[in-house]
Amino acid sequence: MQTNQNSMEDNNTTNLGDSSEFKETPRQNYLSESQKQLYSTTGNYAKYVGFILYAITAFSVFGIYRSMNIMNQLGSNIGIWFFVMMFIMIILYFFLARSAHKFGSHINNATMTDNPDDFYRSSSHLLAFFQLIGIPMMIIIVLYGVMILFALFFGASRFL
Amino acid sequence: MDTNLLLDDDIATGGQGAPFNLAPGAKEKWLNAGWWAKFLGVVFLVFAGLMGIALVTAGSALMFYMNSATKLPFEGGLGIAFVVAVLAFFIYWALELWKFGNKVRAGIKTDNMMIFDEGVKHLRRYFLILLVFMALSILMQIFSLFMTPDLGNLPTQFEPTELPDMDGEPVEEVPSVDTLQ
Repeated sequence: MQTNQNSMEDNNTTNLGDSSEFKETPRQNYLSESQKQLYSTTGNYAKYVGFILYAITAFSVFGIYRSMNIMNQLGSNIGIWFFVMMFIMIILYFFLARSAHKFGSHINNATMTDNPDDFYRSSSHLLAFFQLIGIPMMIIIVLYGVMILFALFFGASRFL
Repeated sequence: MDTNLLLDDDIATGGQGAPFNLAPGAKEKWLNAGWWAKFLGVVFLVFAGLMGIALVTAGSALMFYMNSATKLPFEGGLGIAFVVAVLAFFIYWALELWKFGNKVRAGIKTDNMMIFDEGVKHLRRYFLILLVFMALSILMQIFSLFMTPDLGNLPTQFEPTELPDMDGEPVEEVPSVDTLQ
């Protein structure tokens, strides 16, 4: 009987971000008050960052619409590449905004509802946020490095 | 045994031997996020270094480009002070990102929730500085919109001024833009 009770108590302990053990009975107070305050303010700032990024995305869409007329008048081939780059940037901005906002709201929910599932989700969005900045940065650095290597081996004049 | 009580007590008493209550799935995500944060922190610090070198070697040219790009009065000491302040702010921001990555990873690897929370504090500061950066850049954009000349008031049609009659002969009328079209 005693062993049974112990095992039940053990099952009731929940880890932060453990979605599998936490579906039925949400465990109360798995975060301390100081942790709750820290995570909720972090989440609020992340949410505001997300809102501003959403606004920047909207303005970029408006900007691309305005510049479309100018590019049509110029009839330049550069315009196509400009639009491709702008399109990629807008998609990137949108997903950055989304991940920042979702990270903020999930970590806020985790502090309010004591649900570790939210904590797990928030960590996924935080990872996505950093990857969305980091992967393009890495690609640019690698391309730039390759360009410098080519310039070193074959002469910079080929790129001018 | 209630792990939460232990965690709370441990935070209150300084965090020695705190049980680490982060699930394996979330641990992996935070570890990866920490790695990317460290990488980005280093990249941003390198950028800041390059910006510093550019400021030292080509400060006046940089001011000229900033003037022409933003139409803001970046001239002389004020401009340099502004750029140095932005650079210092940027370095601090990159350091916060790097510290977040370092501490979160260290906290997870050593199973210490206190170090992990220290990392989250750096993340909070990172987001706060990002907010300030974005708010400032939006304000600058709005300000530079007002500083640019009002294109709506520019003359849309060329109006030739009347030339003085030097020899008493009538001056040939310059055709207007409308007649050329």
